[in-house]
Amino acid sequence: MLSVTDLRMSFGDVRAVNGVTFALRPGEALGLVGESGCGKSTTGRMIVRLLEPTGGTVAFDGHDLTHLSPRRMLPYRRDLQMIFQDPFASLNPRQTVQQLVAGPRKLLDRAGVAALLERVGLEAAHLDRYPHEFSGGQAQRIGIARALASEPKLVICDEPVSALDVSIQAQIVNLLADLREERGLAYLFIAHDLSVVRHLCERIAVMYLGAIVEIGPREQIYQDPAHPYTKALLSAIPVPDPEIEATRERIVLRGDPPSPASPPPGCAFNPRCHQAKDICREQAPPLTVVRGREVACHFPE
Amino acid sequence: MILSVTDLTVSFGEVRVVDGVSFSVQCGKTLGIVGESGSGKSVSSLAVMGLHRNASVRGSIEFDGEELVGASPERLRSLRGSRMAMIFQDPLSSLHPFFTVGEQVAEAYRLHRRTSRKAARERAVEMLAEVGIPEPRRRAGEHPHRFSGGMRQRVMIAMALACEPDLLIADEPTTALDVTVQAQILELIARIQAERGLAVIMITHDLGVVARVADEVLVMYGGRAAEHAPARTVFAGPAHPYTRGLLASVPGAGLDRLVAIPGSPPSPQNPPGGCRFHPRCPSALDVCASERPALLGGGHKVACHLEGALHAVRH
Amino acid sequence: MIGYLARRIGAAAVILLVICAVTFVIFYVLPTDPALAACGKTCTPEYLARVRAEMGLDQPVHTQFWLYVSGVFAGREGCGFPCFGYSYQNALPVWDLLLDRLGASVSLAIGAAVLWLVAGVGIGVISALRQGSALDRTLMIATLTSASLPVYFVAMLLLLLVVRVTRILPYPAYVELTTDPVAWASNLLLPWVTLAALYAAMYARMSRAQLIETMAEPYIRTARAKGLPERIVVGKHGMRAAMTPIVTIFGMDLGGLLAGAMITETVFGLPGIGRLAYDGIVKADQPVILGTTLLAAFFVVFANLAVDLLYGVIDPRVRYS
Repeated sequence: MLSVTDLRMSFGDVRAVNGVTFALRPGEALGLVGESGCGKSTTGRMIVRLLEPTGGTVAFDGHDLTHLSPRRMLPYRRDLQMIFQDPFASLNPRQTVQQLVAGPRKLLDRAGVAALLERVGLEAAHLDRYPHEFSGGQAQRIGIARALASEPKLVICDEPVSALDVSIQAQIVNLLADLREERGLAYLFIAHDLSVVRHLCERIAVMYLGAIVEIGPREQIYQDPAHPYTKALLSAIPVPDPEIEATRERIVLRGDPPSPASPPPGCAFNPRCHQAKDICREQAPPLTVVRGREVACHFPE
Repeated sequence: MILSVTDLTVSFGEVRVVDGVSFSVQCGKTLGIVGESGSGKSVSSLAVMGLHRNASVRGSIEFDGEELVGASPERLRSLRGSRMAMIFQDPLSSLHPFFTVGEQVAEAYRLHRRTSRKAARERAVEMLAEVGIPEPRRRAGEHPHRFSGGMRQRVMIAMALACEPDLLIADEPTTALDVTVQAQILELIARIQAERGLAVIMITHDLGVVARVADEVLVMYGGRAAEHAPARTVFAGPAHPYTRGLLASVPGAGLDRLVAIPGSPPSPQNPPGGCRFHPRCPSALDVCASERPALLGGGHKVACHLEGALHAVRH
Repeated sequence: MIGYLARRIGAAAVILLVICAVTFVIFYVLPTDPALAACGKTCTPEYLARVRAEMGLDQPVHTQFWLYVSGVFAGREGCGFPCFGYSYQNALPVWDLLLDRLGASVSLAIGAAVLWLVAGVGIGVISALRQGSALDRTLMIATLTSASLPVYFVAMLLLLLVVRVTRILPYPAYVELTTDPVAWASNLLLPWVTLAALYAAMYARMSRAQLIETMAEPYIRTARAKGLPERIVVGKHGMRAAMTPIVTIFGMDLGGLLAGAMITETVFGLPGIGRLAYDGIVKADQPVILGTTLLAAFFVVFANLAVDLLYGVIDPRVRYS
């Protein structure tokens, strides 16, 4: 349904996204994870065409969306929706909930909006209120209702729970999971929190400095990571269990995540990799299939 | 006990943001304070540091045997930055953009120890090296915006530890950082704690971080203590329904479906009566709506009517 | 950085050229005859023709413009360097007139500036530190009143109270600084206070707002957490950040004032560029109007540039590309 091939995005000299390729089947959920500067949000924005890619292609249902003008993109926007990280920043504070959810094309009438609000956990009474009158979790529900109003096939979720309290995060994650089952939605779930992604997505793609370093089925990535970065990432996530935390083996990376403005030569991860050899500094490794998933590493573990 | 807080209450006008909370920390140990918005965790620690300007602080805050509540502002000021220090969540906005990193690290040292500018400068370079900043002498002359997020937090730690305090309060120090950088910072704090016998209060909403660093855990909700026990005990057998709800709702537990706590955290302006958690509690009794539960227990304290009754029955 | 400077100076030159051209066009369109105005009542047709030829009014407008601009950079015979034209009504080259009057305007501007900075920022800081108190509210009402009073009103009020009624000071008459510094200062005192009253009010309100906003920043909380005394927290950490926008506005205000404050100079009878410009306009003395306009534009444009560069010195995050 969605096919992204060698997608690239450069802002001037800075290469934010450097050749990303993956595909998504209808109803599938893919998690796109990585830290700041890895290009995951930029990738998401290119897919919904908030940005125009500087290279590669985005194809949806067989149609090439890559360089369509805004006007010709319009029909596809019904099927391709996005939820953002900060609901207060992404909802127009001057519009009521009803106006926000129905949208400029007035996709739903009042009764339709009310029904949708109730499905996402709000009330019909909220129709005429403004975003600032809601809590963070409720505002995010408005954002979700807005995205679902057009009955999309694919929803890109750009860090939708990062800005929420822990107890609210679980509510929203559950809601997203339920909605997906009910409506057969496909998700591209962008997050820096690997543990949240685990609950929603059956496939995971790990990004580092503009490229995918590992992509494969969920359990394989979590139980048996092949790329040294994925291992370090998983190891860095603190687990709410002191016994495990006290005894687990921890890989602590040296140095900072690199900035796209000055990428390291060869494999982008080589300065921080504990097993970097000469070839890693010279050649960027391609994605190869290892144990049922794809890895970009000269010496996968 | 380097710090002993008893029955702390912090009010802004009519609004009680912290309502009768007690905790303590020992040298070389870490107390993790866990809570969400409105829990009062940050406000409590600011009260310990004496950083509230317009709030009324009641109760007892004993630091190394000295009572801080009611102490003169001048006395509190002399302790801040020298014997107790604090680091904050966002290192970019918490460092002054116009002064160099070296100046900011040296400043407190120069003032508290009354040394020369040169000596303070040397100390700053020394501290920057200790927190793992490469080329410390050169980088001391740079401004905060030239550092990455993780490096900035290291600078804040260097600044906090320059005068060798006995207590370090870390208010969500890694929330704004990438997870691999978070691991580095937590490791740095742990190393320094082991080397110097530092007492640490780690304030966070991340239960994983608590599990990693805390010896003792205080769970706060709606300005009050919900549960207070050694870390192992809290995670192995959480007693308060809120703690249980939190642990069940944290992703990564391996379950396929998260068990969410319904509703939202309370606001201090209009809190629920009786037990603050009762509107969201799956096991709420009638008494929970009207009467505030006391914090009971020996090594493992809980503030819950139901748990208190069960505890009494069991023992 | 060099590239940035070169571009800015280039842009400044273009701006000045455009202003010059616009002023020229205005004159070309106006029905008054500059030659007649220059020549005065005792005008014979021959003299008029000679004036017209000298002013170049018999030439097409773009030639006149070219003559003027080249005169500025290269000088003209009979006019000297730089040549801003000749004012028949004052019987002096415009450049000499400008230089002569510059002293009074600059004295007025700088003296008032010092006064309003100290008073304005001082009041603003006090208000900010005592935000919400009775003192704060009183000061803000006072500044609002002061900022609302027209300059001529304040000037005349001061003259009335200080010179006529209480007779503390004599009626001001400009004395040059080099002649007698004390007299220079005492004569400029009333004009300084007049101008400063207006600006101080605005700066007080700005400084107050800036300092209040700065003191709410997280790095102020960090400074307090380090145990720094409050005077350092406010005086060093707070002021440094709060005053940055004030400095830039100050630069621009000062730049605008350097080329003369028309109303103040007229009321107090100061021989400054403002008065020169006013007289020039009333008498339709084209070269004088052109000269004062260009001088004012010059000061404003370069004050802007200076302030932008200064901002880069104060705020280390600023980068020039």
